[in-house]
Amino acid sequence: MPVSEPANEPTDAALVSRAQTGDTVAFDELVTRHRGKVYGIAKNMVKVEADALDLSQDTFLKAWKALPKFKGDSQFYTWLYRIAHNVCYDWLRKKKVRGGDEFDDQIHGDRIAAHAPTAPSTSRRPDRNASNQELGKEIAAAIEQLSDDHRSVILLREVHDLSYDEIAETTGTTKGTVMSRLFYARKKLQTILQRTYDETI
Amino acid sequence: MKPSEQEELVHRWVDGDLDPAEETRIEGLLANDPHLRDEADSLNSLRESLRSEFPAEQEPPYPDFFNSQIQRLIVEDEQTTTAPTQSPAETKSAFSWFALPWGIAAAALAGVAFMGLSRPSADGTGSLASAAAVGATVVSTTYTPMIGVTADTFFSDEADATVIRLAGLATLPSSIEIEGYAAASYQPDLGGAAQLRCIDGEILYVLLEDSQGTPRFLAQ
Repeated sequence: MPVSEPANEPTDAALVSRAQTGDTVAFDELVTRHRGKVYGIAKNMVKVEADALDLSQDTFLKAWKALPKFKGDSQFYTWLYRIAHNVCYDWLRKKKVRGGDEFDDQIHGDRIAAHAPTAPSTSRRPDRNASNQELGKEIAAAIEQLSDDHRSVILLREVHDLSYDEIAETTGTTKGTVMSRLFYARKKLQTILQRTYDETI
Repeated sequence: MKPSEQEELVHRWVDGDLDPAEETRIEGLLANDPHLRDEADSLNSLRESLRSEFPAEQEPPYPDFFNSQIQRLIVEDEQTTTAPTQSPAETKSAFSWFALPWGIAAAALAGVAFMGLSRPSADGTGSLASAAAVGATVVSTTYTPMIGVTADTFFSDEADATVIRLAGLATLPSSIEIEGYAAASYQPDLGGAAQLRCIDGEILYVLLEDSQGTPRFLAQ
């Protein structure tokens, strides 16, 4: 997902080079440029604004500390999003360990049957029948039922518009794993939304 | 649960992952298979719904303050890392990549962040600002919580201190006689506080932090 850089403004690469020499003004510009997307990732992952703010700031602090190791082999934003993803993922995992409320959609009873319809028929598609507000609630509730792995992959693809390769780099997995998780997450969401619709009619 | 070859093709198609030959193939399949068309429509609808419910980009509340907090975290982290328990060799190794001016400022400070106070001018303007970076060497970020107020910083040889000067504050009423100025050290762990008082002891401007570290600029 390309991040547009303002015309006549220094590129991310140029700002990174300056920041790597200890230029905090350059790093501050990188923060300004990417804070919206980093905060967006955190907010979509953890929901609570205060937690998302803390995790976003932690992401940038970790990025600052790791800058000397950044070789520029990938885009800065991909590298940054990977840090954001890991920070949020670790936080969620620790929270679940503390709270004991882990939800693993791989082991829950409502597995998707192999023969399940891939898409609801056009006339019964919940997204075409529910009001926008109702649909928003259903989508939010449905995505909460996904595991962290599946939720992060589908959000990075559908919301943050990362390619398979970029998601693989961000989540530290392979392209094949990304495609598999994405397929499963989409089917799961379709099934949940269809079931929700069936229960309301 | 493995997707069929055609299902995988549709998913990759909506994700823009197909090469030209595969594009041609999927277009032919979609033209002749209503089920596949439904699947493609469903995937696109799901994407639209997710994008409307989960914005990809959201500016954090108080974005300038967000930046200043990160600068503060960096300073705090450096102070922690340069704690006296480390040997000089360790310190050099950990910070060898740091260059001027940040490294010198952080190293020289060894613990206390700084808040600068400008002297009000004859017409009474001027007030307080918080500085995320520290020391007499550089102040890289200032945060002014009042809209329209800007801050610039400079090093004063006369005062032997970094001065933060604010512009855009309302003129103080001439009836108020300023008793004096007080600038406290800005210590992130303890919460920063600085006050400007008028003669009867009433607090005129106060800059301090709440329990979340958010600055509150009060006027009475």
